[in-house]
Amino acid sequence: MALAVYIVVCGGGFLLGLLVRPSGGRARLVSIVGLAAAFGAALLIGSADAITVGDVKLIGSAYAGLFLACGTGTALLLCVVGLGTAWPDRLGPAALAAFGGLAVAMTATDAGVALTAGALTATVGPLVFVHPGDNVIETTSVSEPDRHDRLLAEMRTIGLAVGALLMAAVAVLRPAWTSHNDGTVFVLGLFGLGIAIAVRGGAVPFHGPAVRLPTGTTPMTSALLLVWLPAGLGVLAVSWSALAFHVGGDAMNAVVALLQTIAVATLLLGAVGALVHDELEEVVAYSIVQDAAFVLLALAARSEAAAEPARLWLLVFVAAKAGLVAWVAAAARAFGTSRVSELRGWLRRTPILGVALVAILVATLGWPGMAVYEARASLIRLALPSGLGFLSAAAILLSIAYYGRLLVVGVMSPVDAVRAAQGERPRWGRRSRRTPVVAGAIGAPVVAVDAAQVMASVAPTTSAFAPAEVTLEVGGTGGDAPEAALGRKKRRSRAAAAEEPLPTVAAPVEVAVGAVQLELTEDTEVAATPETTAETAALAPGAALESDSPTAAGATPGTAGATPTATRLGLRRRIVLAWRLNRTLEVSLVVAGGTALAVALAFGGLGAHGASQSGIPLDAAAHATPTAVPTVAPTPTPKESVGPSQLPSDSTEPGAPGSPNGSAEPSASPTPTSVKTAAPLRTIGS
Amino acid sequence: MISLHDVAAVIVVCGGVAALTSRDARGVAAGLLVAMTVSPLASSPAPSALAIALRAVGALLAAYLLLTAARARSVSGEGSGFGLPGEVVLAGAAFCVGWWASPVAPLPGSLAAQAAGLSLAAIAIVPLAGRDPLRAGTAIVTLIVAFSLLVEAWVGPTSPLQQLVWTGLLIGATGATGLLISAKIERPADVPMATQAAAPATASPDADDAIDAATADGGAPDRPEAIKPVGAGGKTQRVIGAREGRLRPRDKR
Repeated sequence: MALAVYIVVCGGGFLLGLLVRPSGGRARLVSIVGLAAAFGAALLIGSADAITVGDVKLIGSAYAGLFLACGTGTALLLCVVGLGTAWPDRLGPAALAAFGGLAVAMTATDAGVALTAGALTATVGPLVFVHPGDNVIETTSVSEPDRHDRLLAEMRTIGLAVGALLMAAVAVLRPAWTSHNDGTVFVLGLFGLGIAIAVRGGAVPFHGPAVRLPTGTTPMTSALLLVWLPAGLGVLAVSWSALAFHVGGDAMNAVVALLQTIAVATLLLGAVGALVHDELEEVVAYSIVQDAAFVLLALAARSEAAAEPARLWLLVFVAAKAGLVAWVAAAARAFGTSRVSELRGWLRRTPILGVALVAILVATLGWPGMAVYEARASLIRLALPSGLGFLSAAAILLSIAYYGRLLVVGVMSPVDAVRAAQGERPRWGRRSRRTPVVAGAIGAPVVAVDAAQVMASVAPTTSAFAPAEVTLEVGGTGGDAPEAALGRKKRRSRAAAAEEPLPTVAAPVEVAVGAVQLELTEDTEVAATPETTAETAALAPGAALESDSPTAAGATPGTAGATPTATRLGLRRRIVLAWRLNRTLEVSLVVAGGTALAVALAFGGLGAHGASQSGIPLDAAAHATPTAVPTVAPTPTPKESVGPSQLPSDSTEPGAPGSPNGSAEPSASPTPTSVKTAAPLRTIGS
Repeated sequence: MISLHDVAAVIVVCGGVAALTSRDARGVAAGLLVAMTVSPLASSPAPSALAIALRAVGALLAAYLLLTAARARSVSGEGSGFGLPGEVVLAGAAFCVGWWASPVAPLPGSLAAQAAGLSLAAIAIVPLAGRDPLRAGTAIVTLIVAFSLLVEAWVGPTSPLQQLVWTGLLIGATGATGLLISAKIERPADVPMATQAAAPATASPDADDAIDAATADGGAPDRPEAIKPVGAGGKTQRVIGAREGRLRPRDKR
């Protein structure tokens, strides 16, 4: 029942999410409610869930339920983080579509249905790849000259994934080939599947389009295209690879060597890429790409021994990397920049985000004895020659290097932009402090004429990018204002930074004042309550700019009236207000909660260890094919005699009634249901 | 004796060829609609009426998605690199190979489905390597139709759930194509001349850039290029693609 509810909720949420207006409140409501409902349903999926559609059964399993819950939960986490940062348009519907398709793919006992549903899942990428509104000619940017190439690359990636999965479906369904050696089909299937996962996951040397994803796409797109989809395809591929294990030959060895080479290159170069790049989005993309190499290792290993750690790793991978994407969104929102060089001292301002990053590091790497560490080590040991065992340590060291770089940058002395940003510490009441205002470069709107004059006065002594310190009186929420201004600047810069000239302090004062007055006019109506007033202050960084001139107070009626109100509130009310208005704290706590989930999974908790041992029904289907296949004999065998007998027969003779496989014991059927892989039994490969 | 499966298989191949050789998105959508709708009839035994209806509705929805993406502008592709005769010859040759070859014996499905599947797969491979997203997307959809035919020919009749998943896959692939081609035209130089001429030159701040780009592209230096009917059908749209002088992104760097 829970499985049916999950699929219905995903399908309905996907359609409803596309029907409602993008970026509107209803779209957010549909996405969050849909993901929350799907998350709840996924938690209830177990081995007892079964749906029969025609002659195909969808059977739930503990692993499928945990994987879907993990994926849906991380999608919900990102959407909640998006409420406080930048809303990811269409990410919710796309996630619902992806996990709905994966639910069918991971629970179908028919390999054809499972792999075709996996192919269907691979087609949802363009939903987030193309940002709504980007197809309007006027809003496109000249700064993306390679946009056509990226669209084409995405189309080819979809084609490759779909073709590979359908080829794998043909191989697993095992038609009655006339050739005695049908290993070629399996070789092609494994090759296509491996390349498809490598391209979809951005493995080296296909990493170019993957690491440039964030530009011009929906925020947090990396989670869908680089984490959820490759992980889902990886589960299917690892399950199928156990079947391909029986195929040998030079061609298969060459394919395996190719996959090993790609995986090793990705493990090392992915970490190096994360180490040398300065944009946080690129660092995260390379980090995801590096860890996705373990899926290729599991595919190359082609054994059940590798499938179990791979399943555990995929669970942790989904949770940790989605948490990392959320972490980047939170950090970029808090400090208004996503360049590592401009984030010096971030850890001092946002220690909770620091804890979250350490948690992601622990969940991704672990330590000896920890489940995730053993899983990574097992995959490297099983998939690579023994001489390459050092790669495990090398990958860990390189990962520690780029995570450590972020942390070291965080504990350094804060730069001005970071110092100006709002931290996680709750503040309230009137206080005066010296806060740098990056005049012009930030594009912070100035509230009053006096503020503009201040800017004009510092113009001769500061460059467009040099911060100038002025005294700010911050009311209510402390450093809300610069932080919000940085956030607004970031959103604008992505869309139009290349087309619009940067404002400078040399700009006419009248223009700045006019623009600010226009903005204030638009915000006047919402500045009636303390909450909205403070939000208005957040939109206008200089709203509480200290000045002796009455003009300033007159120009900011909402702010001037709100600050004394906030100071008169009781302690409890002030705490509530501080909590409510400190978006940085809210977002950081949500991110930290998500990373805690990853850490729990990395320890094998929440049922991850046990669920990883069971796998999905496709495993049973794949394993059943070479050995325990109910013969599709030309003789009309009575239907009830095909299934294993529930009662042991008295006779011990092979082939006795009740023991179709010749055993006196009840047959240990690989799956309790009929598996539609009943092709004639043949010898696979050489 | 010619059966319904054989006729359906030929129609499916014709639809695929039409989709892959057409330069206009409407022609592509019409070809895909024919191929997706008729493909279930090529299998033997034919699916249930409900499954056929499901596939037909899915095909209509998929074609509608493609048309919707191309409705705002006349989205066009480069067309076939081989040309229509070349594609027809290639498809016919692959159809004959599929008709006479017997990779699976005994064949659980129909021979016509196998021939049509191989034929569609053969003509869908090349466009995947091209640089036109519309053609690449069309090739992906054609490839899916080909795989569905081959699976039904080699493995036997598919289950209702499998039909449902095939339908969803066709819709998903066509929808993805529609999304990506809708974002393809993103610079003034990529806009069809008909669209440029219809808009006032001063209406957009990018108008000057558009005229400059048109000039660089061989257009008139002081005004948008005049609309001239091209071809026998009197089409007024300008074909976007490398053949007709469209500046590729790399050329503009």
